[in-house]
Amino acid sequence: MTEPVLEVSGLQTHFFTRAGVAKAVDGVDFTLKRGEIMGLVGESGSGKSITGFSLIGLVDPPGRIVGGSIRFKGEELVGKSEETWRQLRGARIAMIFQDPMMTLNPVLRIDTQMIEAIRAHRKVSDREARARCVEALGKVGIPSPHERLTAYPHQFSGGMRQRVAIAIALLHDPDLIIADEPTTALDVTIQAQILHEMKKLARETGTALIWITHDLAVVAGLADQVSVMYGGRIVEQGTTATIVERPRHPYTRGLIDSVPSHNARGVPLRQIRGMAPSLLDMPEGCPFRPRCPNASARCREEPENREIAPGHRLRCFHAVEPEPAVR
Amino acid sequence: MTETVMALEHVSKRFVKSIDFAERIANVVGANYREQVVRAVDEVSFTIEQGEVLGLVGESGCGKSTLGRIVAGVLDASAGTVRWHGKSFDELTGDERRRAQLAVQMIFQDPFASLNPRLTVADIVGEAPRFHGLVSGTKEQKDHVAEALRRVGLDPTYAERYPHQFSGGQRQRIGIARALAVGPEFLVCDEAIAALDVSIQAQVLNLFMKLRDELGLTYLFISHDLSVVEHISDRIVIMYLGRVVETAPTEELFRAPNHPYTVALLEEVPRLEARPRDYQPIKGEIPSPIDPPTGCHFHPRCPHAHERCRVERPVLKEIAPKRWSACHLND
Amino acid sequence: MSEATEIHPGEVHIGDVDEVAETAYAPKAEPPVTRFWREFRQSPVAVLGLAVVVVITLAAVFAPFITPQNPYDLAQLSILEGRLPPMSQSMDGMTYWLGTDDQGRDMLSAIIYGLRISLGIGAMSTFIAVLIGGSLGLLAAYYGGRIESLIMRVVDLQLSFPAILVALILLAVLGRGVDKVLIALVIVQWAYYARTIRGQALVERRKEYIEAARCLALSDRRIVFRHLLPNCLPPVIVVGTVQVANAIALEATLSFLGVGVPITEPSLGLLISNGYGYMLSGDYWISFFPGIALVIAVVSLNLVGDQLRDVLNPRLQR
Ligand SMILES: Nc1ncnc2c1ncn2[C@@H]1O[C@H](COP(=O)(O)OP(=O)(O)OP(=O)(O)O)[C@@H](O)[C@H]1O
Ligand SMILES: Nc1ncnc2c1ncn2[C@@H]1O[C@H](COP(=O)(O)OP(=O)(O)OP(=O)(O)O)[C@@H](O)[C@H]1O
Ligand code: SF4
Ligand SMILES: [Mg+2]
Ligand SMILES: [Mg+2]
Repeated sequence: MTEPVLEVSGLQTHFFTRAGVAKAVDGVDFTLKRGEIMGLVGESGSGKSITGFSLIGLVDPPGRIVGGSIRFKGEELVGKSEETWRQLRGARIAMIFQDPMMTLNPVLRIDTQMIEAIRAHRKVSDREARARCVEALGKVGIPSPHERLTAYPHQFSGGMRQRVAIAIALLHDPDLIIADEPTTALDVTIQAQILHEMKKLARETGTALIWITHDLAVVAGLADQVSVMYGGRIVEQGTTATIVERPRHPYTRGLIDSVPSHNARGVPLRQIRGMAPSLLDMPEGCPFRPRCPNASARCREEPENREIAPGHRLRCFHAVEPEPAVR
Repeated sequence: MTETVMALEHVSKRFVKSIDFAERIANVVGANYREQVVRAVDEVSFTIEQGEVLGLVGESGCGKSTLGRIVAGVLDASAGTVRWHGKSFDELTGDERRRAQLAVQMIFQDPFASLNPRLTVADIVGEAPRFHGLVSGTKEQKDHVAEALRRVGLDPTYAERYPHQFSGGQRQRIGIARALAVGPEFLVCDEAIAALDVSIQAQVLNLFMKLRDELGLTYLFISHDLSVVEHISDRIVIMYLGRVVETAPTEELFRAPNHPYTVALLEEVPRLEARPRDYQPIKGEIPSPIDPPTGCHFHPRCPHAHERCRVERPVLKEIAPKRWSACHLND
Repeated sequence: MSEATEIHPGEVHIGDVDEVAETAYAPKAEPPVTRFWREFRQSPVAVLGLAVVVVITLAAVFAPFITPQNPYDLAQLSILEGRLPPMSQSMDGMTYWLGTDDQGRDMLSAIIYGLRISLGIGAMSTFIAVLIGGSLGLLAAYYGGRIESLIMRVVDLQLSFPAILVALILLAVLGRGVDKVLIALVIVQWAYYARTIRGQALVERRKEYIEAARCLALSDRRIVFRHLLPNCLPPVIVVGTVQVANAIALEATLSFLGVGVPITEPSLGLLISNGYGYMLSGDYWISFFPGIALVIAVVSLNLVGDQLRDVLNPRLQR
């Protein structure tokens, strides 16, 4: 059908620190179509944010992209000049952070900041710019956007600020939005509101969305496809239904099995033993090996990323049986 | 018949932010700064039975931590009574008071801030037992620490290390060992697994359940994560803006929530189910506790709000055995 | 999918971690001191600064044993050898590496003795100021309320005047003397520490480990001294190091202006002042070398202080 918005293959972003090379992202492949929502799930330190930063060209030294390709609407972005990135960033690709104050300047009014963001990429009259701001604020569900436009960030609640940050991301109708845990710090009821708006937006505007989170449950109701990261790699990837109901990777399976609501009340939860490895001290071969119940000597080699069913990719030698996860 | 270990009777906590000197001067010239009073906890009553796990759920700023601290005795209530085995905390003196204080221990959220970075694990865990004379002598202290560490699944040979040498999950275990070392009966867990990685959360949750069986502990388990609370609690208290809105045994609460806020909360918890869902979020913001809405705190967001809700504060009423709810719809 | 799930026969099942003990993660046991040094070492300039500080401190402490001459023993001086340029030979065959002053004193010896007094006053005044300021700051943070307001208003007042002005006025009232200079320096410095430690204590006091200590029913005294205080010290150490340098510079200024130490106990500042008159007549060394010594001492202390700030700042640590 349509050409994919984003094709990432073999992406590697490493940090060259004094203590050694931290392979924060070490093998990330996925494809995203127009209007598609992908959940990028993984534990702290698994490389989710660095993947996101790599996609908008914001990896700070000592880190850099050392391999792989990022094709955005057919154009290769790896190795492009800072100028090219600047043109794309904010206009065609936007990012939303966990802390909205990364986007917002506390001492400037909302309208000043939004108009500035518009003018960074387009020459428009003040009137037009304002109209655009009001429209964007309205889209993310801010009541009476006209009046709110002249407020300062501190006059908003946390949830409202996050909406403003999202509105800024929407100003140029980007093709891709990368959202890095934007609802993690918010309350359940507020999170539900934002998930609701985002889903509607992706459907209506055709913007592709990468939703980074550590909570599988958040993306289960939101995303079309889910990628599970562990130790810098995407270890399993498939449609949301596949991942949540028929996970094949021992790690994904362990995660899903340990969710409290998938266990009988009061009995011990099935748990994944051990803990995530340090990036500087990765086990050889499969990064999950020391914690994996299925591991064998063969897992000392790096498992390939292979497609085990259409649209279902896996990095594991000993996939678990695809029985539905227990309820 | 089980025994009530802890009873809260109309417990309130107000935080007053008084106006400072500069603001007072500004007031003279016509500004209007006033004392701000936060009613963090507003007339809360409930009991906790021996061996029970009571879940306390609510959104940010609703007073969960404040209530947890009052229960743990590190914060004094502004009004109301906290009874420990039937005796008011204020009545207790001397040795009795100290024993009551030690019997209730707290497990904290932040595995980094909750351990003194300048002490070794042995000191962190062993300090209080030694200070209170629960152990005497270095050898006995060492054994005591080793036992506490083993109980929480840590290798006692790590005792001479410093907190920064451990991962988040291990630090949380150290915090639990520190509490266990003084032989508590009751643990207040304030978001004790919220800061941990998903795969580590299950480990620590299992540890809490294991300790409950082995040591017969009673828990007040504070969390904003309903699915965690559902798993571990026998009974759940739901708070909204400083007040208890509903209390019920866990299964019944999930089967038939009564208060509109509980209904909304259950509806909106992300569930690990592979069906695209249409969130039907409740509207509006969480109001500020400095200036809470009149009547029922929830009325501006409640789909069923009527005139009475705007003016009259609903009281907690027993709507079925062991089930309490504070909503005018029940009348 | 049987290919994927079969377990190969004969292969060892690794990864069997003990159910309880999380041995998978074995953190390196590195004592804090080692870690501190490893991080400090990362700036070669700071290491150089530290080396200089150590050398001049040792020189100051052991001055009587290492100087070629006791510059204040008048019997050893000969006015005939006054104002000799650097590298001159004395009559009894000794080399005046840095020349002599108008009294015929060996400048090198005078500088080392001067360092002794300057460093001594700097370190001593800082130490006393830390004790006084630190205790007041800790009191303010722990008790809050009236006590805190009172202490902090005095601190604000103190800090709103330039240190040099306060010191000048104090010395004008008190008169000259090492003890008087000490008092003046303590008075102009304590407020920094009170403020630093209070700020830190307010942050630390809110941390959960303090709450945990309260929950464990430890005594107030124990909480303050064993838990709160040690965690408030790092910024004090940083401020303190830099303040020693500032105190030395301030004392030098005061002595240069003639209100500091008496002539019998000349510090670097006084040495500079003494030689100042001869600058124009070309005998630069009498002022110049003490000046260099002062700069070296102040700069190296600052280098150490800067690196300490980086190493001890928890925000910069991973
Ligand atoms: N500037 C840096 N220097 C060295 N290593 C870095 C740097 N930035 C990130 N890393 C490493 O990259 C890894 C991946 O980090 P990343 O922020 O992507 O994790 P994450 O999956 O987003 O985790 P979280 O859920 O905690 O946000 C981390 O282990 C981190 O140690
Ligand atoms: N020491 C304090 N001084 C002033 N106000 C306080 C203090 N502690 C808490 N509060 C206020 O009391 C209210 C309740 O706070 P509390 O920490 O108990 O909420 P919480 O339910 O634990 O929230 P969270 O989920 O964010 O931890 C908040 O509005 C908070 O700002
Ligand atoms: S490759 Fe081996 S160690 Fe890795 S997840 Fe698969 S079975 Fe486990
Ligand atoms: Mg991240
Ligand atoms: Mg809290």
